[in-house]
Amino acid sequence: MSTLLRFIPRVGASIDPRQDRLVAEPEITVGRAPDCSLQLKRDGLRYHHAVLREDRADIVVEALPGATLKKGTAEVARARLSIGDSVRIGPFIFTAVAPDETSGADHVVTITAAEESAFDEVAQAKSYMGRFEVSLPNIRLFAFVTSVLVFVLFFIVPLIFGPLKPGDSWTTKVGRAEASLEVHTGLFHSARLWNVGEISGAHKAFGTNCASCHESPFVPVRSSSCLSCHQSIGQHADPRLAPSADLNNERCESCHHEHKGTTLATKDDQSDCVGCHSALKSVMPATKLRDVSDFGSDHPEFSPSLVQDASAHTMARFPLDDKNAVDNSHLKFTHMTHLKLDKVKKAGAEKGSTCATCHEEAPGGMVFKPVRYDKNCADCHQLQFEPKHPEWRLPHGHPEDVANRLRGYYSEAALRNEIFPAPRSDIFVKPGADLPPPPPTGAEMVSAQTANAMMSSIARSACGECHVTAPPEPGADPSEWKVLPVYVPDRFLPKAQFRHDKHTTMTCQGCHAAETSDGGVAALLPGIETCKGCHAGESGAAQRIASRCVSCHVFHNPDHPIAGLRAAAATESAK
Amino acid sequence: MWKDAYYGKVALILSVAAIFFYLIDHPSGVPNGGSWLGYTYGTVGFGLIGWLAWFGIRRRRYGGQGPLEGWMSAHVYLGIALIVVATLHTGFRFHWNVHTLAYVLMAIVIVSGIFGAYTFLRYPAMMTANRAGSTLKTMSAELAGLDQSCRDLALTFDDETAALVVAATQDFGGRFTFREIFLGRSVNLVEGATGGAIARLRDQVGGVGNAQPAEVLPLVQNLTKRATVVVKMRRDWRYRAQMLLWRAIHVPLTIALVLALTIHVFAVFYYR
Repeated sequence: MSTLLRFIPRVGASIDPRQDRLVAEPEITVGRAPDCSLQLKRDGLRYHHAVLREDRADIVVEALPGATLKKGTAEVARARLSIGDSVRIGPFIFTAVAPDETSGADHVVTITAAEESAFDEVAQAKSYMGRFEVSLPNIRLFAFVTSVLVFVLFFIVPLIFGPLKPGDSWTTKVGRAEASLEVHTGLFHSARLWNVGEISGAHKAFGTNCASCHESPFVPVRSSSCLSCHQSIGQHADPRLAPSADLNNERCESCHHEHKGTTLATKDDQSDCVGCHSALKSVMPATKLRDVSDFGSDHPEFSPSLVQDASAHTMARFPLDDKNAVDNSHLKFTHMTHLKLDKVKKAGAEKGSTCATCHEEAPGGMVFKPVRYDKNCADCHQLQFEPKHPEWRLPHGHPEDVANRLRGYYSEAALRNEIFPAPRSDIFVKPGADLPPPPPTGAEMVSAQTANAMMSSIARSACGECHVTAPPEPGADPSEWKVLPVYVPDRFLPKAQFRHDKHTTMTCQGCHAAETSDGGVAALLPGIETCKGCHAGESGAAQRIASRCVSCHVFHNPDHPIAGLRAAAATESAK
Repeated sequence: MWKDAYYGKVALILSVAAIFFYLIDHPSGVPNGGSWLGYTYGTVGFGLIGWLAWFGIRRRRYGGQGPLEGWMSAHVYLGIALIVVATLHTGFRFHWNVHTLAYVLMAIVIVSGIFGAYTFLRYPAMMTANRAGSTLKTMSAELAGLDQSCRDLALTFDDETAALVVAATQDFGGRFTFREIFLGRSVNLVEGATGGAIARLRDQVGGVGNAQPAEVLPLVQNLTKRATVVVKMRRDWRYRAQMLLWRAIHVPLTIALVLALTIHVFAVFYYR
């Protein structure tokens, strides 16, 4: 077979015979590869694309693996070309035409480029210009959506679902008590979205109900809200004496701030205290208090409160160094004696007495438990009264019990016919003088000995060793010796809130000169210089703890209830 | 720099004064926005936010007081001072509420604004350096020319190789990623289609194929050259995107911030 391949540059162009190619092979392979009988380097053509074969008068075109042909618009794998038929191989149109004399071949196929170059450089360059364009987000839509979200979630939801409205039940006392404990969480806990900070632990129980404290919108929290629970809170001072300190004219909120964390934030700087207390007489002429401006630099020496009347528990303050201070606690006791370690020992104890032998911290940690005879004294002070019979002891308590015990002892002695000679001032009786009467016996002996023992026990040996006693009235029965009532308060500096449990790093003797104290409370109490060993004023100092007024003193004085505010709260609740 | 950073000094004095008063103030309890100093910070912050937001409207108007350049300078410096004042207003107390929301929105707006100011200071020069005298148009034309010649040169090779080269001419590094736009990581075309085509061509010489080095070399060179042009064009577009995109955060969140701020003020006065 011989085939004339006739190239036409583009559709409609005239034939250029110089480009004709006569191929005398049975098969013509078409493709870009160099081993193709018809090598065409054009985009769109495969390396080995198709093969042309003679089939009687026609030419059959077969696509090689991976390639396709196009007959009309249909993709085919094989096409038969009779005269006048066309098939498209890649970017070329192959058409079988009738051979003429000049061709000198069995078949003539024209090859026409189907279109201009498939790759349009100019258009491509233009498309590259915008190739990397970053599409900006829709700013207006984004702004609208975020704004709507903020408005709905943080305004509409808390407004509708949060407990914003003051409860109706708030106007009655019962309703208020119920409402305050009612938990309002609302949708999504929406009250939290407006909550400026954590509510203090004590107030959390009703803290989710905003209206518990915020009674009216845009009105600051009223003190009456606080006082509906804190009814017994005290004034700072007697308002009749110190009208400027009348808390009826103040709001609780001016010192106590809520929503500041787990503890209620309380104003504790001393500037407000010093405002009056640095010259207290100018605002409260009747005061007996001395002026103070700072613990470190300007604080008077302590004045302990000493017992004046042990039965009525009245106290009076004396300067710490006052030699004439009156202490009527009616107890004879010195720490010096009791802390002589080698001498004072509990029965059977190996070591001598220490502070803890008698002093035990009370629950709460602020003070110590009262010292009791039966627990702390009885081991040593056994109240024996008769050397011959040490097993007999006096009861600790009332003089009548003591008298009864004595009467019992001597009655038993009378039954044993024991005789108790009266004490004599001389051994020998002068010649001629009357003999002393014989010792009494029986009932007479019992009452005489009881009276005698009452006098000696109470006045001297047993009771009088520790207690202050009063002798009987002149002419009265000698058995009417009295043990005066005892009162030992648990605190001697009650104006301050000293906590022993906060000072456990100290030894007792670090503050209390117990080993040298030979009596009197005042000698045992530390002075302000002892405190200043560790504590400085508000601004602090090197190696010293900064201490403000409220570090030791309590602002609200329960002796003076806030009567006015209470009355106001009462009126409020009565509505 | 407008008038030796006059507003920079104003902002610095404002910030230093705010920090100074914060350090010497001892409010009862913890520092918070409800103390007198806290209210002062809040009022100053509220005023600043209002004024800074007004700039967005002011800059779209002609005329008015003072040159826009001065307003711009003040907007940037006072915006930075605002974060000091507002942080002190919070007393460093943050919770899940509308108050912290307003603060967070403000912080995002300011940070995006600082980024925007940075792009406007640095990027024009970086863009000029990146283009190195050419323009996006000439770079596009150069790229199209290189692609054309790559396709032409590829016709010599077998179908698979040619397809790889054609794919390489369509390799622009894919979509812009967050990493690329905001962290400036350039794409690596050698890991993509371009790299695949180059590797295949390398194998053609002495490897699977029997192509001559003279046939392969120009194609590899062209592919490499076009990759360089693509990276340059991409970088150019990245700069443009960065100079535009920060505003897509700055402006909408400013509107949300003004709203959250209004709710914040309403809420704290509703529950006094």
